Amino acid sequence: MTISGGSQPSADVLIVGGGVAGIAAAQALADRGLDVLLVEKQRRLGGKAAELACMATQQCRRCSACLLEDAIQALQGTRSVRIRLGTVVEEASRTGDTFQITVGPAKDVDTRVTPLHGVTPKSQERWKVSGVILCTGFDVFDASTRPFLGYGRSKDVITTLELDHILARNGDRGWDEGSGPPSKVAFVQCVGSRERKAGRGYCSQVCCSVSLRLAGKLAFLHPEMEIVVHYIDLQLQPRSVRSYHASLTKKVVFQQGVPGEIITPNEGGVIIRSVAEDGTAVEPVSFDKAVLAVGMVPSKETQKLGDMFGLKGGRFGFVSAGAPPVLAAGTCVFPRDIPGSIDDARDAADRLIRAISGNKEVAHG
Amino acid sequence: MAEMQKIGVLYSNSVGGRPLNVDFKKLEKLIAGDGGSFAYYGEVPDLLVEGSEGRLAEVMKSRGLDGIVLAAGSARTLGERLPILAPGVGREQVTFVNILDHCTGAHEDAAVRERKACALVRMGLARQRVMSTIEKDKLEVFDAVAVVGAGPAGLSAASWLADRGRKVVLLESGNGLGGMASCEKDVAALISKVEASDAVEVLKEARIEEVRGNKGSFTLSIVKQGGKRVEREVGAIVVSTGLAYPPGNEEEPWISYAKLDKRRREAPGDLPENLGFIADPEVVGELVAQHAITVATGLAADHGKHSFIFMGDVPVRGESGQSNYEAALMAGVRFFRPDARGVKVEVKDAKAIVKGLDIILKQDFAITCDLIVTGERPRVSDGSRQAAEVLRLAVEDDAFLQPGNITYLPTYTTRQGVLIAGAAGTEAPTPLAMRGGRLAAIEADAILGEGTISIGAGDVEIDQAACAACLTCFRICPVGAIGVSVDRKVPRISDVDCRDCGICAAACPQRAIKNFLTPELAILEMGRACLKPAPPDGPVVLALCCARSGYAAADAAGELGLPIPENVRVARVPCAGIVSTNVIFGLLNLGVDRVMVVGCPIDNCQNKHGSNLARRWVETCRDLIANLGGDANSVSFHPIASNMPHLFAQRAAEAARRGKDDSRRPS
Repeated sequence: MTISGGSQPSADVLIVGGGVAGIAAAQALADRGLDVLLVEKQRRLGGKAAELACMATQQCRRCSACLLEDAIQALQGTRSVRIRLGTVVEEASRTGDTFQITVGPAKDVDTRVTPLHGVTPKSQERWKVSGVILCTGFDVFDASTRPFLGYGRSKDVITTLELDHILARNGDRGWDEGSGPPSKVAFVQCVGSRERKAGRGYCSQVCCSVSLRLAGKLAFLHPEMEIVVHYIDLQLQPRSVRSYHASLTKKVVFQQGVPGEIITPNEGGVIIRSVAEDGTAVEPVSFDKAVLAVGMVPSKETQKLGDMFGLKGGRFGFVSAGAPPVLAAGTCVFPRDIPGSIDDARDAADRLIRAISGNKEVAHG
Repeated sequence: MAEMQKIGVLYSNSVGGRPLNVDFKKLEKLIAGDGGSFAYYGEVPDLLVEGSEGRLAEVMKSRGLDGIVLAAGSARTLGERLPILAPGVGREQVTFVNILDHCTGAHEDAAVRERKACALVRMGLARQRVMSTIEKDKLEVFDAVAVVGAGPAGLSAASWLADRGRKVVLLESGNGLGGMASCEKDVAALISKVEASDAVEVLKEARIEEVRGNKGSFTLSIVKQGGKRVEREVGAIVVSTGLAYPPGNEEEPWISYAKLDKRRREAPGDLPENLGFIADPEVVGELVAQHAITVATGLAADHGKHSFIFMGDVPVRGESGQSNYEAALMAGVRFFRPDARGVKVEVKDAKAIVKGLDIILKQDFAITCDLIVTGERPRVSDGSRQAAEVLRLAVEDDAFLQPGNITYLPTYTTRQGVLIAGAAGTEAPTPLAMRGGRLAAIEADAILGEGTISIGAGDVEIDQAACAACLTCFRICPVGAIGVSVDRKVPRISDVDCRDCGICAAACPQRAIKNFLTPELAILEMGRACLKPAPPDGPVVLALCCARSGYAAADAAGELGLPIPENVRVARVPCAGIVSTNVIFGLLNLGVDRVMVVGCPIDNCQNKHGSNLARRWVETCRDLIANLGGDANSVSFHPIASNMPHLFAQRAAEAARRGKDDSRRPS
């Protein structure tokens, strides 16, 4: 809690990143009586989950994006969490059990947003904290680095995230200005994931369920739409996704094998070329839109902060989960879905609480 | 009582530095002119600036107000921050009117803004007048937790609670601890820790026979080893009954996982040299496939056995999947990846020869194994089924106990004070099961708290004379707060477990559940108030929005500056499920032209059945209206999640549009 009288403000724990993981960690710490400083670069809480649309058809499809709003609401009533928005950690140094942290206004953030959920300091602030949890999230894989997929060349090749935005923005109807919804849509899985040669041999964990829900939502909104999902192998987890998949197989075609190339003709639409297992070319198929299921990659910020706090040994460029007093949680450690990030963050908070209160007991005893 | 209350209207000219652009001085006259009455009208400066804490309480105290209508920002930001903004002011004493989003954000024309603000404040006053202050009682809780099932989830819950200084009663239906993971290192460490702990009472071959009481004060009748009965008092229950061992062939050289684990525990040295595991995830499921890798790795690393695994795809999902696979390779476990035809097993001289074509090596293999370990897809354990029955938990279609509704994640069940952890809830490999145990333990610890629990004043009750014992309330209660007494077959509501959602009162066909009707009354009063000032154009549309979904979407729509028509008046309701047919027809009778009910998508309601009930009631109303020759579209249900503001704006615009029959409703 901030101490008045000119002395330096202090908190028990610094959380970097105000996405689902950061919010969950802050809440878990505050619920057990710790003071938290939550620093978020954007001027709003929520991170990437805030950009997602609801995937419900008639029924909830358990995409869990709405859990974010619940979590933000709950955090509002938490007295011991100080939220700094539009703010970044500039410097950190450690002396014994204490970290000296300098936070300051972030550059290049959207300043039109009113920071309703926290305070945006105009100048640097120096804080003392005893523990740190990094919840800096992930970056979306840049699909334009794979030119053969046609992303960036044509408006008809979009990512799953962009499709999410379309569905969120336009409610349940309308696509491009002036044109109706496409009649043939192809999903392409594992874009940027499971690329062993590029050093990313991991599965991004969420894209199969993301595409499945998107395909299901499209099929629900536009029953006439032809939808094909091209996949390497479908990861039907959590278990609710498995039953959803079973119910979707009548409306959506699931086709094994991802395309070798997506051709983007000038007149619009896409042509998908694939190669069969035996090496022979399969007849190319035309679609109106191709949706690339882009994976999660480690964010640049995470690497920088990991270095700042000495977190090493992560896999594939992610940071390791660390050990108290410096921990990382959520998708900066490894790809996870929303409930998985929340649980992970709560668990990290618990580890830190037990370490810090253990130290306190030692100190008091 | 209502007349005695002194209600003030407090406004703020800006929220979080954002100006509201409403002439509040002028508004005062407008509100009063339309018959809105208040005891005080005044300004509190910016509410979200650090250091503004306490201003609200100061004004309330100095003016002697019983309740206030706060015309500023959203209940979602300000309401949740109430304990900070106004320490000591109760939630029930304040009604929030979101001028920032619903007027400033949604309307560019100052006159429209003010008319809308006037209507919303009047609705706020109407609501605040009916809300009475609910006092909280304290109740003592039992300082112990029962953990049912001593697999990885149960052990980690018990160990966490013991570290925290809580007493634990750990029940296990078998005679050994650790469940399916008893041979894994982390779990073995937990077993010795729990067995050595004074805080944990381990009851083996035990099961719960009966549970009485509620959250904070359960009494368990337990049948333990030898059929002896004991009773234990606990404040919370963690259900971690796990999965049953996957059934498998037991005739040697075939062996099941259960039998292999048993032999490994008893005499690992006697196990033969070469062990084969047939565990294609497509056939046996990801969980058993991962289990096979863990067991094979353990036998290779700890006991120097040769382990061979036959599986088409290696399950490498999640960090644990990835690291388990790598640990297996390090330990020298050999993986064979048979093609789609799988493997053939020939038994010869009590040995098994596993044959197939490896798709990676592109060549045939024939491996001789002394034992072949197999298992089918795992089943939910009998313990889970039995626990669900005794504890009155809802069981999902696939027999797991974690409710599919995401608002229950990760540990809540359909009963208060009973938490779920590990593979009994959902498919969880060992590390996730252990994490689930810790998270459930944290919740259990919070229930025990400092030894007392806050409860409502206990005025919710069922009018026994009116009750027809149809048990609708018992079935729809999202938290199992309604029990049925065995002797008289009448339901009773527990003050401790009830979270005041009120959907049982709305659903009761006899209207026999008392004191939940306050929110209903508040809605009707808001309906009366929303008619003035009348919009110059179009019908008056009252949008009754669920606090968790629709209202949040409406707020966000304003925040984004999406146009919400002037004649749509947004009101916040605790759950769409309380907007029953009575309420809807009541509103239409008062003169509201159209009613939009905005709730969560089906299955997403935090009160489980709320949105489903809301949809059904709306359908009933529409049918009735259509049969009477009226416009069925005057009542509508919209499932709109909090993150769909554009959809809300779209639906509001549709509802506000003049219909063919103008704004006439059926008479």
